[in-house]
Amino acid sequence: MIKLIDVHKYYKTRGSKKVILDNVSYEFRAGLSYGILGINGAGKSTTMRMLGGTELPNSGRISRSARVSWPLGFSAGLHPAMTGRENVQFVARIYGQDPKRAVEFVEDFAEIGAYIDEPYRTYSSGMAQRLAFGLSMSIDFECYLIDEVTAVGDARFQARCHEEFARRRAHSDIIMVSHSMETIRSYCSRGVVLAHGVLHEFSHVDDAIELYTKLNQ
Amino acid sequence: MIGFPENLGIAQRGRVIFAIMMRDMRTRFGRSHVGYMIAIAWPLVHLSVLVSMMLYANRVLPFGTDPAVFVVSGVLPYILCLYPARLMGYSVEANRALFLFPVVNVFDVIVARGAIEFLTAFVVAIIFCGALLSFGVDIVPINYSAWASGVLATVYLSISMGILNTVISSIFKMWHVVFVLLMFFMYATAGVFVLPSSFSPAVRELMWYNPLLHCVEWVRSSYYDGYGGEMLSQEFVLWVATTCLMLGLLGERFLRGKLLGA
Repeated sequence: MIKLIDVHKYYKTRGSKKVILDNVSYEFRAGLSYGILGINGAGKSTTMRMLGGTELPNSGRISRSARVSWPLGFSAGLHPAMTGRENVQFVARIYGQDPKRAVEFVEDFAEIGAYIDEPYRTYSSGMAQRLAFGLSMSIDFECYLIDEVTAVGDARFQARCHEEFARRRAHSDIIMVSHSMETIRSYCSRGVVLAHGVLHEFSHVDDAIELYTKLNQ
Repeated sequence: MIGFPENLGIAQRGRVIFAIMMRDMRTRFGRSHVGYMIAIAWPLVHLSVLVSMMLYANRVLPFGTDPAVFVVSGVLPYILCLYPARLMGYSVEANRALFLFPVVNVFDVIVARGAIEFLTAFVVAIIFCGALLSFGVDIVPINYSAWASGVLATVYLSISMGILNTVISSIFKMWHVVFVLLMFFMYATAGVFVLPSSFSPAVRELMWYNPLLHCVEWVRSSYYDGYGGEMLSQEFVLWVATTCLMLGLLGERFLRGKLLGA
């Protein structure tokens, strides 16, 4: 599904070089859902952006053979001056989906009522998150990248998100970053720990969590 | 199986570019398509003011034709070249938020902005020429093919400068200022208001290196019989444009990671 081929990624911070992925070759396979764990600053979000393709590695290649979402959890990319409806139509268009159907889905899912025709900048943070989340659900991705998004909205909305994801599991996979072990356990079938520029894969999520807990000490 | 975003088909690329164009037109001024009218009105006012000033000053022109034709043939390359090239320079900055969506790549936003700017430029040119015609000014060129090729070469130069401008300005913020200065010099030394042949040979030699001068001369050669022989080098325009295009495309390829992030 997503293949990393000899990927090297680093950041320069005040002269020192911080390696995030050190010549990593790895494959995220279709049909499996992955939880990425790592201590703060290990580069989980950067890795997610690279998987999505919004950030490029310094060397190596990342190839995607599935429709991969943008990393959910960021509502950037929506224009503050455009209404919710216009934003949804725009994103539906760039992904080649029917704008009308997408708007209907988001209206139903995000439950923001008449605000759909108000400029996006007037939204409360909860509404903005619900819109962004509904938007990503309105497009048929084969793989969803989720970066700490499970804390969106109230308990009722969270239950809906969970329900919607459960429905999608049949034909979509998930790669997620979360600090909530419970979330990782309930969504993911594989655990990947990112530490010192290397990805360690575990076929049991619990083993990954154990290593993560050790690293955190 | 759908290919990864960078390799999507032409139809999908077209959809992405079209969607970005619509978004750009809607949000450029205020938040409606009506706001976009400002983008058309701005250069139109520029053109009208210049031509009116020239007519008012009633300058003695070297040719027996309408002075409006002389000014229009000089300003048209500016509207078709420097305006679009400058505004294309903002494409990546203005649309950076869109790179959140992996389906959008750097080239899409540049192409979308370029397409809008040329749409604008041509609408401006058509409205203006239409207005002049309705006032009885004969701005129909005598040599259609020279006119069309001159305009196309100007557009080509503009696109090439625009792409290079985008790449440089996305990395050096100061570049916008440099580009405006460059524009000013190019405009001032392109022989828009004064015939290049009225300058001293030393000045002319320097002016020769301004590609916009050749665009102006090229377009003018379609209005005046036997004009442009001494200065005009069509090859020069095409070489400068091609060089800029190659540098711009190379820059986009090798600095793509920086353009996405930054």
